[in-house]
Amino acid sequence: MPTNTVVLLKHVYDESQLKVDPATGGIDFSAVPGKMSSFDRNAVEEALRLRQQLGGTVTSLTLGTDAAVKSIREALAMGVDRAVLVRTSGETDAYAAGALLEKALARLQPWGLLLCAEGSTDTYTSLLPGMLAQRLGLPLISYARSLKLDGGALVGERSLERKTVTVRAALPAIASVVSEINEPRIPTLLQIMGAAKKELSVTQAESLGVTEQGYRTESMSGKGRERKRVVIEGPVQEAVSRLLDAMTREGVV
Amino acid sequence: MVFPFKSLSDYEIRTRPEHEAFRNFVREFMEKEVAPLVTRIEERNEFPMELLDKVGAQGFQGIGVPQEYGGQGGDQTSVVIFSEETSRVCPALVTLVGVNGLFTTPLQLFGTEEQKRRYLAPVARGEKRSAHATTEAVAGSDVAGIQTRAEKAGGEWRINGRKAFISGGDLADFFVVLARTAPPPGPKERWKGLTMFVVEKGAKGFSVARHMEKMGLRGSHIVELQLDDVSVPEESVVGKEGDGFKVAMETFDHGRIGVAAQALGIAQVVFEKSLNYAMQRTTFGRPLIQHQMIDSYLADMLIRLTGARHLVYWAASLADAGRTEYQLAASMAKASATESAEWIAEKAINIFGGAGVIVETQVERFLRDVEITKVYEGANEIQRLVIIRQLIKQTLGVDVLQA
Ligand SMILES: Cc1cc2nc3c(=O)[nH]c(=O)nc-3n(C[C@H](O)[C@H](O)[C@H](O)COP(=O)(O)OP(=O)(O)OC[C@H]3O[C@@H](n4cnc5c(N)ncnc54)[C@H](O)[C@@H]3O)c2cc1C
Repeated sequence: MPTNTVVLLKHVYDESQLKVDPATGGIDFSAVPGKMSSFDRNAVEEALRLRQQLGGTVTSLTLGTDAAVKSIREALAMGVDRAVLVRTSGETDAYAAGALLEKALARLQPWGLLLCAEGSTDTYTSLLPGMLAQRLGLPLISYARSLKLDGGALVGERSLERKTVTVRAALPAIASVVSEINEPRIPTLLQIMGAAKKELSVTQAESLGVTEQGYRTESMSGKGRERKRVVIEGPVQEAVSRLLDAMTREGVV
Repeated sequence: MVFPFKSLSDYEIRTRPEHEAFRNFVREFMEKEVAPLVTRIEERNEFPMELLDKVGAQGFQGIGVPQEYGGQGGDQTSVVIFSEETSRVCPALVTLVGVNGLFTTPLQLFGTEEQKRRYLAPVARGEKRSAHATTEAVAGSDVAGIQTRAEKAGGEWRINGRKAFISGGDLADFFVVLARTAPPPGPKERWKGLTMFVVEKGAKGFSVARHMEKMGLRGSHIVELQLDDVSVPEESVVGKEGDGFKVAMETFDHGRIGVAAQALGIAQVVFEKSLNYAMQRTTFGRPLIQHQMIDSYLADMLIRLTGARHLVYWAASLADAGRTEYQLAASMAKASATESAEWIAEKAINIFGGAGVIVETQVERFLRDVEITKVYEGANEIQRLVIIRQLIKQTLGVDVLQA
C-alpha cells in the first residue's frame, strides 16, 4: 500500500533582509522580501527522499497569504506532487494555525506521514509540531536528524541537547526535522518551469470553520544591543587573566 | 514610431516568476558550490572536474536544448540569467558551459534528426562536453578567410588544417569544425563554399596541438587543434554542404547574448564589491562613500550597469518573442555590456586603490576576464558593423554591406 506524505511549508520574511530603523526600532515589513522558511526545505527534501520507499505522493500544505505562492512553487519545483494553500489575510499565531491545519489535514486524508521543520525561521516558536500531534492524536518524532522506514514504522534519531535518542513510531506519525538531516536539492530549470503547471489548490481559511483564536501580535520592534567595547591589552598571560576577571564580573562565566 | 522601432512597447522586458526562481537557485548553486573554490581555480588555472560534473548534472549544459533531446528547455532569458548569475561568481564557468551552446545550437538549427539524437542529449545532460572550432590563427572576424580544407574522397570527407583559440578544446568529446569545401565563386562571394562538420575526439589525425596562455578566464582553456587527414563520414556535415558560413553566423547570433550577460555579471559583482568597500574603508577620517568623487564613480558605475542590464534582458525578450530585431538588440547589448563592464571593473580598481590590484582582493581578475568578452563571439568592432547593417536592413530593407 503506497503511503502519502504531507509536508508543512511556510513562507516567511527573509530574516537577512530585515532593516530596523535605529531611531524608532520599527521594522518596515512591506519592504522585506519573502522566502521559504529555511528548515522547511529540509522537510521537503526528506519527504521526497522517503517518497521513494513510501511510494505515495507528497502534498505540501501552507497557511499564508498569496505571497506564499513563490515558496510553494519552489517546493513543487523540488518535486512535491501537489500543493494546497490555506489562504489567510495575514499572520496567524501558532494556536490558531494548529486549529486550521488540523481541519486542512483532515481534508487531505488519506496520508500516513506528516513532516515539518522543528521551527520556522521567522517566529521560531517550535510550538506547531507538538500541538498538531496532540490535536491529531499521533506520535511525534521531534528534532529528527535522520529518518528511515523500517517494516511500516518510522525510525528517527532525535537530536537533543546532550544526547541523540533513537525512537520508533508506527505510521501514521508526525516528524519535525532539524537542518542537519539532509542537503536540500536545487531544482533544475526544467523542474522550475514544470512546477508552474502542477496543481495548486487554494482554500479560504474562513471556510474551514475554525472559531478558535489564539493571540494576536500587536506590534513588533527591533531591539538595539549596546556593546561595551572593552579592549584588554598587554602580554598574553596577563591579558587572559584580566579577560577572565572581566567576564566573571559580567556574570558570563 | 520610436525609431528604429515601431512603438514604445517594443522596448518591453518580459520575465515570469519562474525566471526569478531560476535566478535564485543558480545563485544558490554558485555561492555554495563554486564560490569556495574560485581562489583555487584562479591560482591553478584549473577547474575541478568533479565540480564540472556537478554543473553538468544540474542540467546547466542543457539550457536552451529542447526537452525531447535531453535538455532543460528554456528560453534566451533563462540563458541570460544563468550566464549573469554564474559570472557574478566565476566568469570562466560561463565559458566552460557556454561553449557547449556553440556546439548544440548549430545542431539544433541545422542538424539532422540522427545528429540531434546522437549528440544533443549527452551534452545536455552533462555526460559529454563539446566545443566549436571556427577561428584560425589567420582568420577570426573574417570567417570566410579560414584555410582549413575538406575534400570528398569516396564516401568520406578528409579535413586538413589548424584551428586556434578553441575554448574547451582540451575537454571536448565532440566538435563542430568549419572548413572550406569549395573555392569562393568570386571575390564578392567569399562566404560561399564553407561547410560545417561534426568531428569526434579520437578521430585519427585529430589532436590538441598546443595550449594558448591568455590573460583572463582562468580555469577555461583555449587550444590549437591540428587536423591531419581527418576522415569523417558524409553524415557529419551540419546543414548543407557549402552553407557553413550561415551555420557559423547564426550560431554566433544565438550565443552573443550569453556573452553580454557574462559581462553583465562581472559588472554587477564589481559594483557590489566597490559599494561595500566604499562604505567600510576610511580615508581622511571618513568612509570613502562620503567623498564626493568616489560617489561620482559609484553613481556612474550604477548608471552603466543598469543601462547594460536593460539592453541585455530586452534583447533576450525580443529573442523569446521571436522578433527579428533581436539581432540588432543583441549586438548593442554585447557591445554595451562588455564595455560598461570593463569601465566599471576599472573604476572598481580605482576605488579599491592598492588593494584593487592585489590578486587576493578578487577585483582585478574581473578586469582580466572582461577583456575577453569584448573580443570573442564577434569582436565589438564587428558588433558595430552588425548594428548599422541590421539597422539599415530593418528600416530600409537593403543590405549596405552587400552593396
Ligand atoms: C579567450 C578566447 C576564446 C575563444 N574561443 C573560441 C572558440 O571556442 N571557438 C572559435 O572558433 N573561436 C574562439 N575565439 C576566437 C574569437 O572568436 C576571435 O578572436 C574573434 O572573432 C576575433 O578574431 P581575431 O582574434 O582573429 O581578430 P581579427 O579578426 O584579426 O581582428 C583584429 C582587430 O581588428 C578588428 N577588425 C577586424 N575586422 C574588422 C572590420 N571589418 N572592421 C573594423 N574592425 C575590424 C577586430 O575587431 C579586432 O579589434 C576565442 C578567442 C578568445 C580570445
